Amino acid sequence: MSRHRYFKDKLFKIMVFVFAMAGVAPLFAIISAIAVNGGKTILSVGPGFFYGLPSSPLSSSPGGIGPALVGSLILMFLSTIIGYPLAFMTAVLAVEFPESVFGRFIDVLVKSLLEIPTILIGVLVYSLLVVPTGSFSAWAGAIALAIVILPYIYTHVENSLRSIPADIRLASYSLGLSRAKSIFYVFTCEAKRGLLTAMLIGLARASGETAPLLFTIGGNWFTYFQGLGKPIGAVPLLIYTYTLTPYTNYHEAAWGASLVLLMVYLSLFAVFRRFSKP
Amino acid sequence: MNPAIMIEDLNLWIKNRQILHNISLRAPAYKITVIIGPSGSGKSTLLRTINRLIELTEGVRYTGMIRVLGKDIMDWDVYELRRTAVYVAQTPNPFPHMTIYENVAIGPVLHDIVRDKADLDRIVRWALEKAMLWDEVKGRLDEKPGVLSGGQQQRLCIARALALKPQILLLDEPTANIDPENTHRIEEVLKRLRDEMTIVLVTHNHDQAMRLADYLVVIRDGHIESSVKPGD
Repeated sequence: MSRHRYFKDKLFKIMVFVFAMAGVAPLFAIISAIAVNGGKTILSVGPGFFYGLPSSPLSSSPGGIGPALVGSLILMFLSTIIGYPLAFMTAVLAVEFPESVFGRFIDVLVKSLLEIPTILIGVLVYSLLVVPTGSFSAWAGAIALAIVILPYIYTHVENSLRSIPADIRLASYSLGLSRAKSIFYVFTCEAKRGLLTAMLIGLARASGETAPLLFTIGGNWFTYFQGLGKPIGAVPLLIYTYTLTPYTNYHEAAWGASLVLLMVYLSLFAVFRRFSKP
Repeated sequence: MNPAIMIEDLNLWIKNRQILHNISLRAPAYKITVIIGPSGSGKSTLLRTINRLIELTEGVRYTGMIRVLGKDIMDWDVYELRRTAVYVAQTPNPFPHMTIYENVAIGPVLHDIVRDKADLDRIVRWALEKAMLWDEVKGRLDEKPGVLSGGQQQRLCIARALALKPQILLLDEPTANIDPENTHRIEEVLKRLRDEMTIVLVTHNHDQAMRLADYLVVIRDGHIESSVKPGD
């Protein structure tokens, strides 16, 4: 190799490394800042941070995030049980009836949901559900989150169903199984890894979304779950709200809540990676 | 005796390209009818048309008449037709996520033709015995079919089809990718089944056709070239 080509090769490798590091540096910065600051908060409060109630603004303690954490879990669960079946059936329509105009229309429509700012979904649910009922509610938040996660779940379910080999489809239909039986007894079992991954993706998205909750859940930080028709808390919205206050102990609580959110997200991501491996 | 399958003037197009031209044939009941021809001659398409599996292919249209057990295929419930005339593909395609037992049991269970678990066990064993596979798998019915050889997997697919107690078995080059020993076994299976059901076998192996055929149909470029009884 000539000297000139040697230096060009070295320069290229250095540039690749530098740009790659620049790309992942913000991620490391975020994770380390959250781990350090959030860790301090959780260590200072102890286990009570996970189940305790918030402290008063001028207290020396950051208090707990119990109601918001329970609210987040409820919203994740509700939005997934609303969004998953809708996304699943929509994906079935798109994959199993590709020649249908309606199927193609739905496919475009659902995928376009990915591009819509999620705050608009919050505004939509606010006008359709919160205003008529006169109250923020867990239902409104769950429906807003379900709409947000629907295209993500849809995309994964669709890919899973499309990846079923043609000879498996042929085998199922050649046994005289109807389309419904083929889908529910053969194809879903064949694609179960992908379908489970789709659920985890939905849960992960639902756990971290803030914008759709701004106008829908009301942010109830001081009382545990009171019913689906009542305001409810959620960790991302708590972080947003606490960060806007001038109180130091609320800022500390927001760091702690961020670490909790990050742990939930990373746990789901780890399980997702485990299941997405062939 | 009425033919189990009667085809009259069948013409078939896929995306406006004509694949089959004026096909007429009769497959006698309880006999092996072998359709032989070179690759791309339309053998598999013809076979899949008999139980309307071809309709899963995009852009298919056909004219003419096909009667299965005396009834026009368009008058059959399509799923009942496919259960009555079961198709076995060229490439072994057992369901990989199911056990060997479940692969055979799925048809009878989903078609609701078993009374209880004991009945299902009997059918599974019967089908595996008919496919000459029982002795090889009886100790590992709860294993996945991936542990079987290609030839065993193909016999498993035949057992899966037999478990539906079909009246017609449509086999699409079932020994195309199989070693000689398994080919011999599959041929033995078919000879034994001859008295119990009508078999239509597609192959491009001339020797195999001569070994198995009660009736031989030669197809080339989508046309039937000849239809003979071997030995005549």
